[in-house]
Amino acid sequence: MRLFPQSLVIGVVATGVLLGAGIAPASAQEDFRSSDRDRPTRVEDAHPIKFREWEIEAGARGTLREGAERGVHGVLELKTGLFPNAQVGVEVETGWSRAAPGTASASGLESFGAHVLYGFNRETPSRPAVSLRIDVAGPGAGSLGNEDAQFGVLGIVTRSVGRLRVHLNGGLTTASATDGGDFWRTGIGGDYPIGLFSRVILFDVFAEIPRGGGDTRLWVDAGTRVQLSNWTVLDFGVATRVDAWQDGSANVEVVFGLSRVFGISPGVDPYPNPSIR
Amino acid sequence: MRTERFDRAVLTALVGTLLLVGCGPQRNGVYRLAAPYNFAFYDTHEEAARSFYAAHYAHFGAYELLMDPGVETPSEMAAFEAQVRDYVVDPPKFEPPAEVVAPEWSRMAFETGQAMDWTHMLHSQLYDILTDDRVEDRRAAGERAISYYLSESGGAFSTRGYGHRWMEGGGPWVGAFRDTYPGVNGILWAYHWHHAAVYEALMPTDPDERRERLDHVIQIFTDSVLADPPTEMPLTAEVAPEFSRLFPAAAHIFDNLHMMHDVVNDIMAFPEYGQPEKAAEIDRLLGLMVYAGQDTISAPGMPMMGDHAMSMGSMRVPTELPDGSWLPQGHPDARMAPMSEFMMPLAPVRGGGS
Repeated sequence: MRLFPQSLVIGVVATGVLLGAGIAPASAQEDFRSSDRDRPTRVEDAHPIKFREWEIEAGARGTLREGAERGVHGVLELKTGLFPNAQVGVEVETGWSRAAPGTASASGLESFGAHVLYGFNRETPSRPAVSLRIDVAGPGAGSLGNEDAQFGVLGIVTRSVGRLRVHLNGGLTTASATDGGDFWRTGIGGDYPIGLFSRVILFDVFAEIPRGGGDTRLWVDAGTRVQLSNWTVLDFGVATRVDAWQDGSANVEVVFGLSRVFGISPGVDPYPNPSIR
Repeated sequence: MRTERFDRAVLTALVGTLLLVGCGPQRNGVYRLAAPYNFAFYDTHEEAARSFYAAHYAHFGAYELLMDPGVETPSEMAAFEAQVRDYVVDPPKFEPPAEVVAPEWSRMAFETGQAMDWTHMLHSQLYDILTDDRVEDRRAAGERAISYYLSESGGAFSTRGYGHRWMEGGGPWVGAFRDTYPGVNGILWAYHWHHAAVYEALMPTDPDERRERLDHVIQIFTDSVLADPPTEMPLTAEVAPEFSRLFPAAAHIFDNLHMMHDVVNDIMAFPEYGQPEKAAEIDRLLGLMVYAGQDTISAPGMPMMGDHAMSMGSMRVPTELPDGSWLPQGHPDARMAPMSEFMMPLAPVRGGGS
């Protein structure tokens, strides 16, 4: 029983990699710079995926603390630029966790969700880029699955200072009392490209604040994204949930994932025989 | 009660922020035409593909350096030129995005940078088509890629033979960059030659012959062209007549892209412009040189006498052949026009067609 959910997480990651590998390659030289949610940091940038671009992302987040909590969490996401400046995606999250040695573990399909992200404007010399993201997630399955549906709205702002991009995220997620109740999501993060090496370092501070009162959940994340090929990006990061430190002992999560872009050939108008003279 | 007030305050702040800053120009990014040949050139001839990346760095890096030019700019440009030459020898693994090389300039002239990147994408796809032996009909595949490129008509460069008209007659800034920074300008013109020469090297259908010609082009580029750069901006058809005969529209698109690169250099280096004037002038020139308005746009005449960067070969004007096909400007078999013809504005082509 304990092996099944771990296998499921590994399966989610492997499926993503295999799915991506089987698709005709396309452009991605700038994809290393995308600050996508959980790839590897929690705060995301305000730029939607390009119109007609597709991307599949698979990743895992593991927690290991000697004599205490252990867990692994996997996510598989497929998204596309359905309209100009509008990104839609579906994602499935699964996981396994155990609060402490000797306690029962929880596992299952956490949720199956979808999102829309719309970019209202790009960055200009005087204005940041702004977008709005709306998430819906259905109930999951298994002991770790959400009991009820959740709905989230998130405002995203990206502002650059030289090559450094700073991202602000803020919004509300509604959840049933069984799933912990409504909570605010807020965070600030950044990314900085390393030379012309098609890699970037990312960092953030992210909080979930229960709407009805209670302890704030606070994470600090850092990581990197590296362009592996013209269509594949590897991400790797570490994170810690600051509010869950015990006796000065940090709980550290390790995050890794792969993202692969591709395209589906659209209908193209006949050659217009344009003016040459 | 306290929670409700907090909720209202946060929601008000969120909505207010979106309303205040969320209405403006959008990114409007469009993905390249999905096709099996994508990145065939990179995967087959990685050294040749990467050889272009120093040029991309040079173009956008020069723009960024000229955002706020001052007394230090000439020495900074000299150091920049040395860095570009380092990247010629040891280029980046992947094409560096303009927003990484030139973040401030990209925010100021986003649409122009996007049009340049969109055209670099067409560059790349035509290299891929000529490289991938699975492509049975090169003309059909290339014209499909060009058609897709032109479908973004506001970000695609014109298919008309503007030659050197905008960079020589476009405004008071003409020559500001090439006269002040001839070293970097020479590298950029050498790369314009390189882009076209690689096309011509890829024209044979035999992969071994392609590789042999490509190696030869890279050797000539580094040993000769870069060491002694062109003193005139080469047109694609001058360097790649066989390729340009196959894709005359693409030859003009790339010439107009290269000309826009030069135009932006000159505007950025023009000492009488501050950033707002630079932004406005770059936007104006982009509007004049894109495909969307080419049937109603009149291009300026060239200056009198010989004070221009136009070779004898580029005085061959677009020429229609008996079979209805066209040779682009600069093609060795195209009609040679007198200088007086270039000194007159190029009239619009109303009603479309070739």
